[in-house]
Amino acid sequence: MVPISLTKIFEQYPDRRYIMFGGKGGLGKTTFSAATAYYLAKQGKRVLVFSVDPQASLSDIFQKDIFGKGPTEIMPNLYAQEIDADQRVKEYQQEIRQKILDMYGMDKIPEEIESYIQAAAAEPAMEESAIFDEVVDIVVKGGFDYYIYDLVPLGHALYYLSMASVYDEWIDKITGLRQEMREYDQVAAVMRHEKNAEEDAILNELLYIKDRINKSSGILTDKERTAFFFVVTAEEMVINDTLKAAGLFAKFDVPLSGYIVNRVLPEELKNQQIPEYLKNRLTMQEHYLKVIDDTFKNQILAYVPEMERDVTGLQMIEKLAERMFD
Amino acid sequence: MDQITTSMTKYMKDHPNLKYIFFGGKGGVGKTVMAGAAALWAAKQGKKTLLASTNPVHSLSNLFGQDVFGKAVNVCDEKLCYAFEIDTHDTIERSKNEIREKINWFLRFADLSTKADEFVESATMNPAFEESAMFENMTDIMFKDEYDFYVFDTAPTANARRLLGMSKVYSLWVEKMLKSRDEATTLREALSFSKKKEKDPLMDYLLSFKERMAKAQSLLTDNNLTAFFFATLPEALPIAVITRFINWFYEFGIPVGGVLVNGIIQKDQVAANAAEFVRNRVKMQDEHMATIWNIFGDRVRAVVPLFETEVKGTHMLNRLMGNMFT
Repeated sequence: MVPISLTKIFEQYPDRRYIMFGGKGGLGKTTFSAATAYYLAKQGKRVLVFSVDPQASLSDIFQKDIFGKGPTEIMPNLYAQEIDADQRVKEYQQEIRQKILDMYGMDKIPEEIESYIQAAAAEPAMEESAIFDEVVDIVVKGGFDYYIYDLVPLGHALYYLSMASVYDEWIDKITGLRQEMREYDQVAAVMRHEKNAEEDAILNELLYIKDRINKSSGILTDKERTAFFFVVTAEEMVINDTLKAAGLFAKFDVPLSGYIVNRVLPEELKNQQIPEYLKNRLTMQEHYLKVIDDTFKNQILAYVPEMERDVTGLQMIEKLAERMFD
Repeated sequence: MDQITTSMTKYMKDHPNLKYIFFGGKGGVGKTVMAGAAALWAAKQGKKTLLASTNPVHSLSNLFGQDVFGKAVNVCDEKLCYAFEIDTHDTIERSKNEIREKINWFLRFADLSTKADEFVESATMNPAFEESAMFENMTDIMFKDEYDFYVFDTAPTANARRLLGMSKVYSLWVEKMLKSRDEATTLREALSFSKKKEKDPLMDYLLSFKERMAKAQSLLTDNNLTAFFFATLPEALPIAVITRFINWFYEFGIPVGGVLVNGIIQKDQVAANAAEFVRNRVKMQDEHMATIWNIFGDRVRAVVPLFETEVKGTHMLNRLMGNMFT
């Protein structure tokens, strides 16, 4: 089956500026993110590709250490960023320490409190929140035409996506409670003949966070501005897992824009001198390509061939981009 | 160095009391199939073996063509071989109920008329909740001690490291909770008219939690009992990922069993006049293998060939096992 072209999708929906690649681990999400960023940058768009994976590989692909260094220029118009969650958590801890020192006029954090700060920072939620926070920063800050999210493998991408709605609800709850308390405060203030209750700094802080999260989670589920691509390969387990995951993503209202089939062994190999294992792999692939055709039908956007060597460095990224956007 | 000094089989022989082994690495490198082959091997040694997946996106049912979600099922021809996909849904529900009970108890304790539900929801909507549930299930399985040997197929990202590191943090946190809880109880007793001692379920919970965490930590850091194996392909990205992983594990004091290389193209199958594509792949493979020997050296435990089909079902697992345990 001839796929709809990925190039056409980008031309057809110029407003989709938030690009995400999802899929099982090891299928090529990060390389596709890098190649798409490369293609768009070559078109003259200002592009930021960033990884929300604490286990990111963009540094390895661009062969440049960008971990925790903020948006780093790779070539004209192309910027890449790997979020260092640990660093972010450390900054946050420092902020708390400073607040305590300022508030209580201490010169040193009491040991007791220090161990609390340490313990809180090692909670897994902290890392997730730190990454989430940075993503919100990136998106709210603006300055790029395209944002390419290199997502974590399936289970965790879902996790990340669901987090937006979770945070939203959670903060609603807290702000609700705070607002109620504030009403009591006002009543108490009136009874004490005070003119105005003190402004609730905490409530304001929470509302500020809520606004940021809404901006970010709004993007994730916005059909007009967001394109979410799934990467699959011609293997039974991958196809099954992808189907399962696609269903879950649909539940979170993530707008699915289509599937890209990766690691397709070149057809012409069939007529060349190749080892036995590869012959069998080609036969197997033929079968599962048919399954993919039947399963995903007219949602397939591109078939990307298995490359002769792994995709690292701009030269290979360019090659891959040419095959993806032909 | 470019050969295995201590093979997988030799490592097992040198660690006769090994009971918990883990498989980690980048997504798509074959963690699940390697874990499957290791479980099969252990079962063949006469050990009642459980292969459990802690990956939120499970693949074991797919691997064995049998539904093993939420229950341990005998999967191989070997009588002693069981597979199990951990279902966090139930644990999360169970924890929710437990928390509800505790909060209800606390509300009564504090003479509050508020309903617990709202608190329960905001407490369990924490994004780290699933991760904690997975860890809790994993330790439950370990503590039940119904098997002689456990193989864990872990999630691809850094969460494996976090999961294991968490036990350290929890004990710190629980310590603090216990202390303040103890103070509160003493105070309550002092103020109470009846002076009658009341059972404190929250305190009991914290104590048992602390015990569990300490136990988990001692098991997971015991060189004789536990080993973490890292799977990789002869490709740049998976190598980079596990290089980072291994350092983290050393930091946490979790015993590293070694590195397993998957998907090697057998050179003797590649004729001199083979297709250029194949020759290029082999050339790339040689480069990456050199890197692997260079970085991991005598920690490489097995080098496993690329098979002509996907590894699925017991027949293929047996073949993989034969190559992993030489």
